[in-house]
Amino acid sequence: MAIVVVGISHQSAPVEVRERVAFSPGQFAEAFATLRAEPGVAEGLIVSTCNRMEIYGAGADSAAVIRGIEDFLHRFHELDARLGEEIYRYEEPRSIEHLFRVVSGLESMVLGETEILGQMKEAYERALTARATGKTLNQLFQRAFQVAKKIRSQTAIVRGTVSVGSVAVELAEKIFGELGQSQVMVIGAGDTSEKTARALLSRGAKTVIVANRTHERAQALAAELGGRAVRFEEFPQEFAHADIVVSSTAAPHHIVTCEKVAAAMPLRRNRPLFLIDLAVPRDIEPAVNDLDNVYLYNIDDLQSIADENMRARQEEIAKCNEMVAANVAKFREWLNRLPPGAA
Amino acid sequence: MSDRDFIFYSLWVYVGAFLYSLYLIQGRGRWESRGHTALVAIGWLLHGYGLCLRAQAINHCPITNLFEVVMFITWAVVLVYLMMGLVWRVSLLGEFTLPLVIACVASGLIPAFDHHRAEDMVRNVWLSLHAAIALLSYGALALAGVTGAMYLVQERQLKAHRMRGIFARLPAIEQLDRINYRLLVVGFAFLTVGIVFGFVVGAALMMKDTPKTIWSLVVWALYGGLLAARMTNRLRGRKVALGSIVALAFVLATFWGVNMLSAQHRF
Repeated sequence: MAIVVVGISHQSAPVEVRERVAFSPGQFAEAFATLRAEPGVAEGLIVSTCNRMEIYGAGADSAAVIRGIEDFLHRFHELDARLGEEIYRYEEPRSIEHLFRVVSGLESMVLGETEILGQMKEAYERALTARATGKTLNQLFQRAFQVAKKIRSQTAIVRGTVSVGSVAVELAEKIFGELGQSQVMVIGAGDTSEKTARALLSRGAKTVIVANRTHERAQALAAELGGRAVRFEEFPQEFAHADIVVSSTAAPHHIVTCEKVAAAMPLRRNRPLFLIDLAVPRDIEPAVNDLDNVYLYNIDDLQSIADENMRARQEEIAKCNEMVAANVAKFREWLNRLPPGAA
Repeated sequence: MSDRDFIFYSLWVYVGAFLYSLYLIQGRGRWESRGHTALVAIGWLLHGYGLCLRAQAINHCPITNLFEVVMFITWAVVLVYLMMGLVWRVSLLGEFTLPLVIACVASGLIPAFDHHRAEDMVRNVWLSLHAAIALLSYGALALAGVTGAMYLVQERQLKAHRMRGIFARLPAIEQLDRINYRLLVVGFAFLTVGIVFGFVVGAALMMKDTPKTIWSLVVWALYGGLLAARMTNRLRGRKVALGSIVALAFVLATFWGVNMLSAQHRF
C-alpha cells in the first residue's frame, strides 16, 4: 500500500483559494462516499481546518491515488480549473513525514501549537466512523498521534507561551498561583485588553471590573464578560479589590501613578497587585514597579517574553526533525513487512 | 559500624538526591519525582538510625555536643521537608533545601565538633523533651528561611521581567508566601512550647542559665514580631521573606556562641 497526501495550507495558498476547497461538517458523509468511489483510492481521510485542507489516501499505486484525490476535489467542489501549484502532492516517504510534522505542530502558523493535534484526532475519528480508512491509514494515524505525544514530552517545542495574552496569564499564575480568588480590572475597553481579560477568566479568574471613558462601552463589555462596570473617574478606588489590572486607554499621560497605587496597598492588606499596561503611550507610571508587592509589565515586556519563548521553540526544531525522521523510517519498515494485499 | 558512619552514609544519599533532582530539571521537566522523595527518605532513615545509635551509646538524647545538635536539627529539617512534600507540592523546594542540609551534615566531618562532650549533663526526660521540641522548631523555622529565599528569587525575577533558567519553575509567590507563613506559625508555636518547657523544668530543677534565657527571649521576640506583622498584614511578601531569612541567620550565627557562654546549654 502506498500512502499519499494531497493538500493545501496557509503556507501554500491564500484564504481565497483555501475556502474553495474546504469541507463543512455537513458535507463529510457524501464526501467520503464519493472519495472512496474514485478508482485507485482504497482508503481516504479528510482534514479540514481554517489553516489547512488535506486528504490522506492509500492505494496500490501512488500516482493513481493522487489522481483520484485530485479528480474528487475537482468534481466535489465544482472547480472551474484544475488546481496547480496551490496544492501539494506528496508520496512516500514525504507524505508520512508531512503527517508527523503536522500533528506535532511543526507545520502550524504558530510553531508548536497543540490545537492541531485535537483537530487531527477529530478528522481521524470522523473517517473511522465513516469506514473510509483501512488498516494502513489507521496504523499511520495512530502512529502519528504517538509521535506527536513523544515530541511534546521530550522536546520543548510546545513549552512557553508565545502570545501577549497568554504570557500575561502565565505571569498572573506566577504571582497568584490559582487565579480562583483573583479579580480582574480592565481600564479602557480595547480589543487586546478584552482578549487578555477573557484569557484570565478562562483560567479561573473570579470577576471583571470594567472602566471606560464612555461608560456605555464599559457597560456593554462588562455585560459580555459577566462583570460590572464602574465610572471612569472611580477606577482608582477599585485598586482596593482588583488583583490584576489591564490598562489600555488612549490617555496621553500616566493615569495610574505611584501615589494612587501606594495609597491603595494598605487597603489591599498588601496583597500583590499585577499591573499590565498595554497602552502606547503608557498608562502606568513605570516607577510603580518599585513598590513592594506591585508587579508592572508593559506591552514590550510581554512581547519580548513571547518572542523569547518563540526563539526557544525554534531552537528545538532540529531535535524534532530528527525524531520525525526516525519514526518515519520505523513506520515504513512496518509497512514494508506487510504482505501485499493484506489491507 | 559507628553512629557517625550512618550519618555520613546519609550525607551521600542526600548528595545523590540533590544531583538526581538537578538531573531531572535539566532533562524532561518531570522534576517532581517519587524517586527523589524516596532517596531523601532513605537518607533521613539512615540519619535517624545514626542518631539512635548515638543516643544508645551515650544514654542521652543526642544533643550533648555541637556535632549532635547540628545533626539533630538537620534531621528535623529533613523531617519537615518530607512532611511538606506530602502536603504541598512545592517545586524546587528540594533544590533549595538540600544544599543547606548537605552543608550542615558535611560540617560534621570536622572531628573537632564531635570531641568535647558535656559529661555532666543532667538526665531528665522533661529536659530532653524541652530540647527536642526546641530543635524541631528550628527545623520548621529553617524551612521558613528556605522558602523565604525562594520567594526573594521569584520576586526578583518577576520584578526584573525575566523568566528563564531553572528558576522559571519556582512556585507562585503567593504560594511561597502562604507556605512561609504556615512554617513560621508552626515553628513559632514549637519554639514557644520549647521555651515554656525550659522555664518550667529549669525552675523545678533549680537550674539557672541567664545568657541562654536572654538569647531565647530575643529569638522568640524576633519571630513573634515578624509573625505579628504578618498576621495583621502590616508586612507581607518580600519583607516577611527577608525577615525569616534574617532571623534564621541570627540564630545560625549566635547559636554556638551563646551556648559557649551558657552554663546549662554548654557542650
